Amino acid sequence: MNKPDLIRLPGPRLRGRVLLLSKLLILLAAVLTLVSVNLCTALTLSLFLIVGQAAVIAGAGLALFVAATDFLRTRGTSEVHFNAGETVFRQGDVGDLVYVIVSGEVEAIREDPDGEDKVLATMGEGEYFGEMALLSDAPRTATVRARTDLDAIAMARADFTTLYAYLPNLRVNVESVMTERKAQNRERLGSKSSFGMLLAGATAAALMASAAHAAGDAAAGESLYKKHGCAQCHGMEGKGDGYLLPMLKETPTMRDWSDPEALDGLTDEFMIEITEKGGEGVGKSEIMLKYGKKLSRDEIVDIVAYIRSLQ
Amino acid sequence: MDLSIEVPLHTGSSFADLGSYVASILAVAVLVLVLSGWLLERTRRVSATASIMLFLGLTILPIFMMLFGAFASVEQAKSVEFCHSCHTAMNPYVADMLDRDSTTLAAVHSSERYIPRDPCYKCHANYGVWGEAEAKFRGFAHLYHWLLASPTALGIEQIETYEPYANGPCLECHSGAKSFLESGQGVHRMIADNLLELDDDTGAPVTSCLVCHGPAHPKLADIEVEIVPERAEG
Repeated sequence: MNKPDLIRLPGPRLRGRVLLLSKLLILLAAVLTLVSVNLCTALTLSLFLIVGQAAVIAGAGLALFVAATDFLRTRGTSEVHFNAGETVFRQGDVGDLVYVIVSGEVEAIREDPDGEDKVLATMGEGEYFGEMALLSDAPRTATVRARTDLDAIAMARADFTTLYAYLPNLRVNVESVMTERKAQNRERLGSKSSFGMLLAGATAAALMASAAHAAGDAAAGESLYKKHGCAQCHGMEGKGDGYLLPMLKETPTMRDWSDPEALDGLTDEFMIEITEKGGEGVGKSEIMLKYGKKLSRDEIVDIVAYIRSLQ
Repeated sequence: MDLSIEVPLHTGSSFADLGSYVASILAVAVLVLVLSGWLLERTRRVSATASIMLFLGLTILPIFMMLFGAFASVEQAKSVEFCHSCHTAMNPYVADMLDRDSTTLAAVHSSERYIPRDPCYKCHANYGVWGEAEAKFRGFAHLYHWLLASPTALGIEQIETYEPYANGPCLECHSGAKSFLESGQGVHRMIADNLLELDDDTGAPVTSCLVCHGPAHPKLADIEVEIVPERAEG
């Protein structure tokens, strides 16, 4: 197979080093500028005109290089390389790319702040990952880390969703893989064998449920949900089947909140933020309107509590 | 040497001052933006805000900081204090210029405020746009000598002008003035061509202003010179 003719973008380690160097050079230039213009001697002038100017040119050039690669990374399809142990993306990050593994292996990890992290799956050559967050318009549900040196093709959201929309076979394949992965995740996350762990998990789940409901009044939230038009898109029962959807120019992918996994990876904080700022305000679909001025924070917390109660 | 001279009552801000203020503000803004953006980036919160802060702090503002800083520094480098900080061989010249009882050209121009600011630069940078450009270019040669501790910069050797002193800097102010045209029964009108004509071999004016009006500075042979090679042992 011919090697793909794609731009090869720097990995996170190289990007981090380049950006660090840029920051240090610019900070040095700023200090030299302050000293030179306020204490103009032959020494400070020499340092500023030779070292300071060179630092600004080099530092700004490196920063522009990083900005350009970041832009290219999210606007097209490119080659990326990660060293073994490097994180490709983290749980909770905004999903912007789908990765196809050319060589190497990765592992998907569910991070648990209060417990130990759990490996959900390992993937190798020819497999892809990162599609869930793009299709469900939600944050990353797991952290993906390179187990070995990894070469991959990174495809931006626009490219992937276009292919997804126009290639039925790809759609079928992706949906099948997503279903399989969800089942696998459910199985792995629920397979804690010892009674103690089972008990701990059950206790944690109970506490989380209690915390979710304690944060807001679900009954009040239901009333607000229906009064302020949430149901028009999200449906009367929160199943993502609102009557307005077929009338939209582009039909967004909606979640069925009665699905126990629909809220995986979605924190209360994020749900409140997206309701306040709208989809556009958090880098999501602009179809989700902002309610920050219309509803108080307590009212939005009540709506979130109602959404959680649907599961 | 005390370089302070009596300050005139009217002292407005110069372009150098303005450049210094703007460059300082930009430098502080760069420091704040880069450090804050760096901190925000590490906390992994508001990453879009951190990215914008870093982009501004690392690319846009530093370029303006560089431009204003260079302008302010070069303007400040025209001052007598700055020139004198390296040209220690010029101690007696500077002392004479600041001496209100001296009758040399430099002293008269300084005492009478004919040249209110930066008299060294005003007379030693050639007349016109190219004169300024040439002076700035030579400034880099000055930096080279300073950095390499050249004997000339240390004032060990007798320093000389790069080329014969041209009439341009004098004529820039005096040419066309009533006193210039009428003095000496119009002698300046008569020798006008000679004032502008340069000798083919030496490049010096056929008739230098300094022939009649000099010397600009006292002759070193006529005064006691205390040369202190400040950096000779450094």
